[in-house]
Amino acid sequence: MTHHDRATGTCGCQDQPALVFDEQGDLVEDVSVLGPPPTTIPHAPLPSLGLRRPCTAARLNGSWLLQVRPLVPAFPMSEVRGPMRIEVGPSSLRISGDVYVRRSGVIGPVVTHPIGVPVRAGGDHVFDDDRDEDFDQELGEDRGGVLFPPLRWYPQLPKNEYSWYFRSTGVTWSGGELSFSFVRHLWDRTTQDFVSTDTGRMTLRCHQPLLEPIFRPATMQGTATIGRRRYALTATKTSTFYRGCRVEVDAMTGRAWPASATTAGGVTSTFRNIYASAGWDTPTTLDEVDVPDDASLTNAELQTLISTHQGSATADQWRLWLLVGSAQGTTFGVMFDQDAVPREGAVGFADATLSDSPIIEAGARNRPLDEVPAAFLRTLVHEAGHAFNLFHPKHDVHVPGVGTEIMNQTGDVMGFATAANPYPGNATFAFSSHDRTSLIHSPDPQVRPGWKGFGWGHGSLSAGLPEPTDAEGLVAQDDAADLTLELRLPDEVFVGQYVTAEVVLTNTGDEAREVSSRLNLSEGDLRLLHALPGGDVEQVRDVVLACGPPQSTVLQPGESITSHVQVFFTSEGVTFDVPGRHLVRAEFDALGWAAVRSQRVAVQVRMAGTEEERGVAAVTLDPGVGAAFALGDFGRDEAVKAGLATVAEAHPESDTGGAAALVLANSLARTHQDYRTGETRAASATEAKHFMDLAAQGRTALELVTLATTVPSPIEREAPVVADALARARRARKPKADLALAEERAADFVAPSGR
Amino acid sequence: MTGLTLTLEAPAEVPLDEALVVVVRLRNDGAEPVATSSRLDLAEDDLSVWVGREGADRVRAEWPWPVDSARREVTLAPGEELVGSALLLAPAARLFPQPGDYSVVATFAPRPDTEVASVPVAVRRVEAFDEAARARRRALEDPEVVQSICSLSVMGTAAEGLDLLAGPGGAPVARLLSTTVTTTTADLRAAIDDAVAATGAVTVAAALASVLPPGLFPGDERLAVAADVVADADSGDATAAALLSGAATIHG
Repeated sequence: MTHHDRATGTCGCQDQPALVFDEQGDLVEDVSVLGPPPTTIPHAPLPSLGLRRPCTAARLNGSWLLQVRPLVPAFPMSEVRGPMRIEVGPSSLRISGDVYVRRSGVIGPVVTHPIGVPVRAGGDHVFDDDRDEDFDQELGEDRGGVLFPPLRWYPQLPKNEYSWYFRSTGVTWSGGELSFSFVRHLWDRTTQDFVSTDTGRMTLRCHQPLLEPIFRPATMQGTATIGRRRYALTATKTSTFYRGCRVEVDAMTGRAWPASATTAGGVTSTFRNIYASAGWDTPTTLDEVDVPDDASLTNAELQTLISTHQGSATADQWRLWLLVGSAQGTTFGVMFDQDAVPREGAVGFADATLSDSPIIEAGARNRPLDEVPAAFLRTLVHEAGHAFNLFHPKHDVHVPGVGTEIMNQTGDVMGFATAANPYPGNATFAFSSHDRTSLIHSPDPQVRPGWKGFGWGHGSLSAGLPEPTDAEGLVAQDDAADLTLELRLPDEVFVGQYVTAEVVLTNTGDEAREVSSRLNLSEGDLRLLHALPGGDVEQVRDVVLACGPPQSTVLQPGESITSHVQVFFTSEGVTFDVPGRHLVRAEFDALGWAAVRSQRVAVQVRMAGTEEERGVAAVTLDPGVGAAFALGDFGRDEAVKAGLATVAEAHPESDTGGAAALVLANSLARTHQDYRTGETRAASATEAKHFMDLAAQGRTALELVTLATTVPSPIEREAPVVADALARARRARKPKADLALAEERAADFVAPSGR
Repeated sequence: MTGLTLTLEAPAEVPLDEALVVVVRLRNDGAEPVATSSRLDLAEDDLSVWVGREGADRVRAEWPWPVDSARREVTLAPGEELVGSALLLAPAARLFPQPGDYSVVATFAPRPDTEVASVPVAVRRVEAFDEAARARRRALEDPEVVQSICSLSVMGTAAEGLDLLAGPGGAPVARLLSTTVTTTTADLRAAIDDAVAATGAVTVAAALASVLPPGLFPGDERLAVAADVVADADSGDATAAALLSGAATIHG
């Protein structure tokens, strides 16, 4: 041993043989079976180290901020960075990380601003029971009037910058050089899921001075090959833990938080030291101790309590709210938070009572959990585990096996208790190996409270090896700030029904914004992401795709642009042709690198039920008719014309019949040249008027013009149907206000502007 | 393993605007008494119900939240059975995404290390073509409505959907469960009376026990009210009473 390693408390050793770890991160004892270590990326010989030496393996252990930069700067500049976790065990070395990307949009060096904040407990009730001796020191306290930088923090970045996750598939550690291959899982920000994988390699060199300045974090430099490109790497150590999450505890009046408990073997356990054993830093603050009493809590009441009692935090901070509550039947606890921002709250029920069974410790029988700290602490740690997306082992798809560790249900732990080894003494106050690995290495979307729903991530992430992409992953845009996109679709349609969508882009900021005005499915800026009932995801665009110059408009604060698009027949064919629940999300490239996404909208699709509906579907499901709806023209296909006329004449009051009439009115108002045959379709003003009259029946001016704007291809802004519909409405002497709105709608079809 | 047999009973055909509740029976067909978990409900995770259809992966019916609770055991004498129920509503829209034929099977863990399974049962889910019925079906697919029914408390913006399900013309089980969420215990008896008249005592007991497992909510007033109604109905079937009490009975 040559040197004491301040960061790890271990001794550094030099001249150690290379250590090789396999795909699972386990040490390979007999390296010869593997052949020679993989050739790492060539790099220049290390400069003379002077008073420097290779780091110890133990120094690697913990959380790092990984920054990735192209070796050759390229526009647009991006910040590619995120947490990297290196888990060094007695005979294992595993690495994983989550990378977040933000386009900086500037030429020049990317400035990495401080990310995250040190995890520390605040308030007046910080528990001291398990505080590290050097906790205050590590947090960067004001010592002697000098504010030192924080030495324990966790890169916690915006969810909308998430780009990829990686995990090592083989590691070599030798002479201060860490080299590993990894598999990368690429994240799609629209579907909020991993969609593909590829592979890469990173090499990092870690050396430390013989005399190390106090409070200076360890760093590593190196290179990476990602998607066949090379990058420079910098890693900065942020903690000896792997992840951190603040925990705020509120207690109902008269109930006590089990700050510590004496568990099997006389060991003192706390919430924090149990999580610390799994590599998580969970500073816990008892914030309120007088939440108003309520003898029985429903889940709706729990949702109200979290919304009214949880303290504030920054949007990117990982945090969890725990309630020491009263009761809900005989339940011990529940992770109740399953709303749109899930897994941020859990409760333990202090009044729930242990039975008088002989498998319960004598002193705990018939006692409420509140009076049995070990049992209550176990339940609270267990419920927090659910908030970090851990499952009951008996239903975990990885089948880790039922036992006595934390994530087993209390009932199952009791199943292993006996009179000689009663509960809670028989409980293991630690996470199983499977759960510990999940806590340390699972992707951020899985474990971070407030991200993916409970139960996500317990299957295979994805399969296959697609074409490599670069270090930015699948990121094409950043999320646009101060813009919202709203998508409106009918709740329910039958297969064969004409369907339109309303898309509204709104400037919610305080300043005017220039945005693309190509709010349609033809010109590439707008896309619909369509999840079918079976789970397949398709991208919906118009059947006609156009390339043209960017078109923009300026939205003042509060202004919107609105468009109506037909989605009956698209690049998918008949879009809603499968019965069941469809989910659709709109995505719009607002301008430059900024994209904006709508909420998901559900559309229930059913088969045509009534005789009328079946009659309509029999016509509209013909591909030629579908194409006519998409193009706003039936061409020279007389059969399609006849079908459209049948639907228009029979059901002019429905959108399907009205749209059919408008397709005919649009087609017949102009000639049509078939360049393949040289034949021409003549215009027929009489027929066009007839079908326009049909479409106008029972519709306001706005309804008629709105439907008319969905009929022609969006790039065919001179199509007669919109102007003709407006003229028809004027002739009908519709109310002035109605006409004024219709005129705006017609004008927006040609050139959308903010309103 | 021990002579325990699990059976599942489900209606052959249920419209999609109705809440589907299945009844499960754990019976000791052996010659010796058997100690078993008595947590025969979805909430506590010893019971699982799986729904499958041709050409798709089977989906596990879930309780919307992970729950921690103590072990409860019962010793079943030979011929005795325990009866429980499960509400198949979550994950909303994934269990029964479309009309058609489904296969439903139950599994149960009498002890942490053992499992028994039922024989699959076929259930046909049929579409409702009436507009009101379709609106009710959509309400049943709203996760907040599902959470409200399972927790018997109004979650988020579920009130409108619950009112729709509880309104006139609603399917009886969904109507009863929605009414149970939104009404006081004092007013519940009339709703239970109506539901018993419409669908029978066993279905009503199964529906209420599926969201208020008697072992998890012992002494709950709503279970007591239902038990009174069932006793008054004098159907002669011990199943309804057993569902509401959670007690083991002799298999008829």
